[in-house]
This record gives sequence, structure tokens and C-alpha cells, in this order.
Amino acid sequence: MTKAAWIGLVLLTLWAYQSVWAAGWVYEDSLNVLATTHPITTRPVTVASWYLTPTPAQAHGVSLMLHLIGGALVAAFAWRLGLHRGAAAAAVIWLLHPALTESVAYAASRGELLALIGVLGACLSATGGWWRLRNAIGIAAGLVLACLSKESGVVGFLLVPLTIAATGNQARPRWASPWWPVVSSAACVVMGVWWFGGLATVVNFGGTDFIKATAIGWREWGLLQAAAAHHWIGSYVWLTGLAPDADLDLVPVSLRLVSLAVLAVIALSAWRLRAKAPIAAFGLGWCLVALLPRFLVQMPQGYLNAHQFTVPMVGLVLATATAYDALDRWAQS
Amino acid sequence: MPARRNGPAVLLLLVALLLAARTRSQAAVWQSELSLWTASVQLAPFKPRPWINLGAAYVGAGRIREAQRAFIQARRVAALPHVPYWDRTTALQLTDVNLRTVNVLGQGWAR
Repeated sequence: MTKAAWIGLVLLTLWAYQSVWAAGWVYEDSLNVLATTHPITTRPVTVASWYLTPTPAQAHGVSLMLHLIGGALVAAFAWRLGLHRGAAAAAVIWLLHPALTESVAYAASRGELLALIGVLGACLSATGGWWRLRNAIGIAAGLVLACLSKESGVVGFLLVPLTIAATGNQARPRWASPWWPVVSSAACVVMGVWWFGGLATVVNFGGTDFIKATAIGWREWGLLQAAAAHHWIGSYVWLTGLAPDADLDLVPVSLRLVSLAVLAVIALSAWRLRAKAPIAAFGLGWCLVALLPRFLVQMPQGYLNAHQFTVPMVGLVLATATAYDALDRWAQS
Repeated sequence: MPARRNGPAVLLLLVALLLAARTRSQAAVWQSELSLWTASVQLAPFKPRPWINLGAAYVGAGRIREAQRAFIQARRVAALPHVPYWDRTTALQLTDVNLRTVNVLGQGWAR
């Protein structure tokens, strides 16, 4: 893509989000952005960013800027994975897809944009040789940014090893066994679980005045989250159903089972494509791996929503960009 | 064949324009509480929380009669069998408080 085309893409993104400059606080902005009174939280980076943007216009402007940075990182990541023709498509889809409107136009969900930047920064560093000091620092810094922005940033500990596995055919020193990043990530996750009070506490995270997380069976929870994941994957494809509060309780058990089957088909496709279309397989795998914690951590009244789908969506964008890359290669041949 | 060579670029341009138009309309939904919850009750009409939040948005806009209607609708929806009992309990409690507040004072609400 030419320089003029990139500038055009940025201008088109600004046009698409023009309304945010006049938008006010909505939904839980007042509970989060306005009501946070001290910076010592589990999301210090996000809270600090809220402090710096006390008015709606400032808050939305910063979120839009973070979205543009996220778009640049998605394109750079696609390029580093080898999608030299598809990187532009990845940027176009990322910057303009309506499924990301909630992350961008809803100030309270800014943590997802920051976590995404951290995760992508870490994974980009991982593509250049994780054993090099500069890259190792980049991975660590990205993961710290992700985890201090939102709890969901912890998926970085799964996605960095996945990225290393997908790009692992580089020459590396003898001591740099591919197991190092896996073991290091697993150790970080185990220590994190211990820090937050053990597995039973972490997986039963959310409760309300009327329900404890332990009151919901794993089968029921898994099927509900499968329906939620299916809903947002469908929204990515069909551009519909973009409700801030989708009614997943209305989905009958039979359709929840269908959703689970869809996720299984995606997993199977990723496995079968791993040799023929490795980047597409990586993208599908990324999506499923990034969704995994949502199945493990129970939060009644907290089914997967649009802004929580931000990091998993990177995988779908990479898979789509792979298809575009192949189409462009064919057209130019 | 220039048509074949330019095809992917043209396709990408069309996709970009389609996505941009859809995103522009979706971003407008997030402009205010009223626009957000009006759109939400259309997409999830059988879920109590959007109706409660729409009622709160109406109260914020000083449209008390419409707020009452939204809270009453939230009560109706909360009684539907597919609503989990914890959502129902929360919704009924909130709508009770909100309806009482709206009826007596004409302003103020809880979420």
C-alpha cells in the first residue's frame, strides 16, 4: 500500500469515528472513569490513563489514538508473520471493523486497547528471536503493560509461546531451547494464580449479591461462553448483533451445543491447516487461545462481550488477511 | 490482465468503505445513554438490564413517563422463564427502587 493509501486509511478511520468527539459518558463510564478515586488497582495503567483524560472528548480522543496504534501493530505483526500483501488488509479490517466500536467509543473499556498493545508488542518482539536481550526485554515490557492494563492481558502468556512456536524455524543458539518460553510463561501463570489466592479463587472470580460463581456448573458455564464466543465470531463475519448487552440467556441449549461444535470445527481447521496455511492456522489458534481464559474464569452476569473480544479478534483478522494475501498472489501471478 | 491484477485492491477498497460506513453508524450508537440503550433494547428486547438502563437514561433526560414505561417493561421481561434467577432478582430489586423513586420524586435512579 502506498503512503497516500495509508493516510487515506487513517482519514477514513477518523471519519468512521467522527461521532466520538461529541459523545458523552455512557454505561459504566461513570462507575469507572469518573469514580475511580485511587490509582492502586489491578489496572494501574488504565486508571492512570483515565486520570489524564477527565473530559469525554479527551477520553474518546485517547481511545481513538490507541486504536490507531493497535491498527499499526496488527499490520506490523501480520507483516512479520510473512503476510507482506495481507498486512494492509489486516490494518483495514482492524481499523474499520464495527465489532471494535465498543472498545474505541466506550471509554471504560480502554483497558482492552492497552492490553492489546501490550500483547501485540510482546508477540512482535517474540517474532524477532526471543533469546536476544533486546527482544526479551520487549516481550517482558509488553506483557507487563498488558497485565497492568487489564486482567485479560494474562492471555499474553499463552500467545507469546504460540507466536514463538509459529515462527520457530529461525536459527537460534544451542542453549535457546523452544521450551524456555513455554516453561517461563507457565511459571508466570502459576505464580500469578498463587498471588491472586489460588486456582479456586481465580476460576470463581465474579459473584454478585445474589449468586456465587460456584453456584453455576461448568457445563452450563462452558455452553454459555461458547454461545457468547460464537455470537462475536458471527458478528465479525456478518457485522450484525453488535449489542453492548447481547441476550445470551435466550439462546437455547441446542444452539449452545451448536456453538460449541463451531468452536471445535475452528480448532480442527486450525490443526488441519497448520502445514498448508500456517498463518491462517495460527490466526484461528490465536482466537481460540485468547478465548480460553473466559471459559475458565467464572463471572456470573459477565458473559464475553464485544470489547472482551478485542484480543481474540486479532486471530480472525490474521486469518482473513491470509486469505487476502493468497488472493493477491494469485491475481499478480 | 489489469482487471485481475487490480481486483484485490478494488475489493479491499470496497470492504474498507463498507466497514467504515457500518462503523460510523455503530459509533453513533455510543454517543449518549439514550442512543445506546434505545439500540440495545431493540437488539435484546427480552433482557431486563437494557430496559433498566434505558429507564435510567430517560430519567437523566427528564422524560419521566417514558422512564416509567421502560422500568415496567424491565419488570415484565425479568419475569420471563429464560432469565436466570440472579438476573431476575437483581432486575426486580432495581426496578422496584427506580419505579418508587421515579413515582415519588420524579428523578433519581439506581443501576
